[in-house]
Amino acid sequence: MTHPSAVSATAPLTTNRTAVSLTDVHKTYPGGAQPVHAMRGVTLAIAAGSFTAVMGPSGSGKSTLLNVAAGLDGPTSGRIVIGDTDVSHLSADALTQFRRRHVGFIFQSYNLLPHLTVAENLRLPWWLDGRMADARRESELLAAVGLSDMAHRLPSELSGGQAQRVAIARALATQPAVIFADEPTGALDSHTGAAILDALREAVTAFHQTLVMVTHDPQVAAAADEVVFLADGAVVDRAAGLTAPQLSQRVLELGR
Amino acid sequence: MTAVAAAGMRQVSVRALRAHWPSAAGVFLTVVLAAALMVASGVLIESGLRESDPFSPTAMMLPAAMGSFAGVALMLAVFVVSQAFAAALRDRRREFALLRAVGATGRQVRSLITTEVMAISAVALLAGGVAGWWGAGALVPLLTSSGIVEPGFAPSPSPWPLLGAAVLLLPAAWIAGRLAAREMARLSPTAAVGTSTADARALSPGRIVAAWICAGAGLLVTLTPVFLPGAVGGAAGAASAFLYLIAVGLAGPALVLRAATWLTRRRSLQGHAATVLASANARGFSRRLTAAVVPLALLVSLGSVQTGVNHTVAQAAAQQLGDALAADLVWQGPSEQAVDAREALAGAPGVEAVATTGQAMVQVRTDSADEDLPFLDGLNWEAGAVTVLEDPAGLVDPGVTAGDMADLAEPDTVAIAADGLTLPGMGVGDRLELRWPDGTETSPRVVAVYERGLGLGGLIMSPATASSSGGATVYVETEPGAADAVAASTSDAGFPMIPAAEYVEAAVAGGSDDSRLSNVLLMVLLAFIGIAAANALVIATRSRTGEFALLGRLGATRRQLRAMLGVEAALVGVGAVVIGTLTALPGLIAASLAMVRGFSLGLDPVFYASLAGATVVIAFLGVAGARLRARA
Ligand SMILES: Nc1ncnc2c1ncn2[C@@H]1O[C@H](COP(=O)(O)OP(=O)(O)OP(=O)(O)O)[C@@H](O)[C@H]1O
Ligand SMILES: [Mg+2]
Repeated sequence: MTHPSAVSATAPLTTNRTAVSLTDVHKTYPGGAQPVHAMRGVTLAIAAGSFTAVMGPSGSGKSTLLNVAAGLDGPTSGRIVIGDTDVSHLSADALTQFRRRHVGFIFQSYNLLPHLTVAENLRLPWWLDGRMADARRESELLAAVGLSDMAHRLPSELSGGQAQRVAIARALATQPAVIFADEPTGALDSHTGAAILDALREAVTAFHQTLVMVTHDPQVAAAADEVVFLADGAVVDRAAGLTAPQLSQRVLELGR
Repeated sequence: MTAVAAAGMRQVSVRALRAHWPSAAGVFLTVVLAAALMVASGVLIESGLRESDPFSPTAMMLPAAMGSFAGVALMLAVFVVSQAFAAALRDRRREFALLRAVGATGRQVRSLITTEVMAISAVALLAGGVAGWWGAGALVPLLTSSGIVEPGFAPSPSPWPLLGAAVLLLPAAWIAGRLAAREMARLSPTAAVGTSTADARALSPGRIVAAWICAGAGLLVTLTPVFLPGAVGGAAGAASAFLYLIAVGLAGPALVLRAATWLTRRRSLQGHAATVLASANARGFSRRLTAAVVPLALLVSLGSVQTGVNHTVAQAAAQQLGDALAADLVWQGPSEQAVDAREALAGAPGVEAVATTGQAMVQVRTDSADEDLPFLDGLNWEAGAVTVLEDPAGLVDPGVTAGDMADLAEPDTVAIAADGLTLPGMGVGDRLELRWPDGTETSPRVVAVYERGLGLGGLIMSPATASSSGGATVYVETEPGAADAVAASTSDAGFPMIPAAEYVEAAVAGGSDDSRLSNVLLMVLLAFIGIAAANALVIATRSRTGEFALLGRLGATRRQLRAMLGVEAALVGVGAVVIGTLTALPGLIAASLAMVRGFSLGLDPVFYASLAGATVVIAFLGVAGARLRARA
């Protein structure tokens, strides 16, 4: 039996070539009047070290896919494997422990605990893991997202873009194998957004991490190794090497 | 976990406490007051139990006077403290969900919450202990003037009351924290990103079952006095009101949801932004609203039940005494004159019959001795007054249900009231264990059981068994129409008498000092609930800065916001009055049915109106206070 806590935090997870794989995953929200089928049999393999963009019309299940793939939410049925670990069969606590060591997550907003400073928010993954925060890595990360001089500010004293950069730094903190980002720059102007995404991509490339990102921005998706198109809870297409205008065209077609 | 990492998590706790200091302070204050109430009553009860002379007023009356108060205070304290913690923690749902998303296990969230709850409780308990000790001292002048303690009485210092408060309050706080933590730990981490902070809608089946159980238990307690009239008293009424309120608290979110949905559907209310918003808020935040309404409802409920049932008991006592007495005139005086008075009155023209009663103090054993805690021996003896009835001659009819009062003429016999709670299951032929002021112990045989215990007291003996001390009373029956003449002639002879009706009224109104004490204690309890309720309201409204800002951005004017809060405060206040009244009614009705002829709720309209008024005022102050803080 492989107990998850026995998996060392620094051991390379990506011994095979697939970082994340979903097999026939269904997710149904038990709604009041009628249940919502947010994922209808999604099967997907994401190559280690790749940058995958997820696109699709609003309500197509992008956030649901990300939450389920990252182990934030359980699937109704199906199998999810991150690295070598089948997370669909882990207990709740084991899953949380696995997640905080091997998975990073960036939400669209509300990523930071309001009463902790930037530096403390950054240290949270270490603390929760019962480890000492790595001071050198901490300052490295802050420098990488350009916030070295704001370590002691509270989230309420940051701009939206700065807060998102802290969230990115935190997602990178424990050097997770996979980082999931759900429209991390959705609330920002395109210039700031682009700068932040550059920082994220650079960091990911430097540490050979896998990045899965939901985005509405064709420019961002165009830089991805692969784009996954969702519609109505199912993967309808996968593409590589499309230009930004081609991508916006595809999404528009799906929306119809 | 390494020390450094533990320090990190402690940092998270400390920061959270600092960020949420207003609600933490509110909860802290609530626990301090709860602990103070418990310690104060504990100190006084223990001082009474420790009193070396078991027949001093301190030993006879203090434990009983404070005991019923302590019972209600205890239920209140546990209830209010767990409500306060639940409300304060609910406020931080989103934060805990984010922690979960970042990788905190359910266990880490639970231990974070438990640590915080226990730290606040422990410090508050100590502060409350000091406050309670001080409060017990502050009550001494009132206790002295009520004759409940002797002049010069000082509470005896001891660690027991504080330990007792700790044993009762800390687990209550721990359980409240645990329940809240369970809810938080179960939160899906994605709840943090959900932009909605609204409450979860569905109630867990366990909670619904618990609500029904509490309602059922409330009904049982309500019905007790109907079958067992002696069981009635403030405590039974309060207990039933409590149980109903806990049921309401458990099922509350579902009830609020129904009421608010109904309200939003009223066509007449559409179009008023404030009303629509307020009722929509009630729907979305049904748990939060329940947490605000329930403590306020408790204020109305407890205030009504306590005063109402006490009044009903007094009324029942008057009716029983009136029914028992066939006398027209009554003489009262010191027991040394009783023999002369009886002779003179019996010989007066127009007098048909006379009977003498006196009183003797006694202690009745209610339980077998406990050798482990000798000072608790006081708990096994209940102080009582014996009515010493000489030659009743049909003038005093206790309403015998078993046995024969005539047998009292034999020495070492006693008659007991059927509803005496301290002597359950005693019947004719059984023996009581008694302790007399001179230190002797006797065990008289029960020869009769009677039903007018509220009017005549729990024990009746004849002079053959007990000698009275203190005051004596001579009841006189006159020939029809001769009462005035007899009163005039005996008054001239030096034995002034009053009409029996007047005597009954005076006997029942009894020590007004005593009722002054219970009024003060009731006010203390009500003040405690008031503070706790205001605190719950402030917590419930505090976290809404974001919501107010959003509404402002959407174009709501300040006036509309104020009006919305006004409607909400009105909903809370009126809801609390309605729920409080409804939960108090069963206890009041049962008491009335069980004890008095004719129907009376025993509620003083002025007192009830001021309770209701205070409730609505607290609702408005709480909402306004939260709004001020939110803006600050
Ligand atoms: N907690 C929930 N309960 C019920 N239904 C939900 C819940 N979360 C999402 N849904 C539904 O599931 C479907 C997919 O939602 P999801 O959030 O994944 O969409 P999305 O693709 O991320 O949309 P967007 O681009 O607008 O963020 C939608 O129909 C949504 O209404
Ligand atoms: Mg989404």
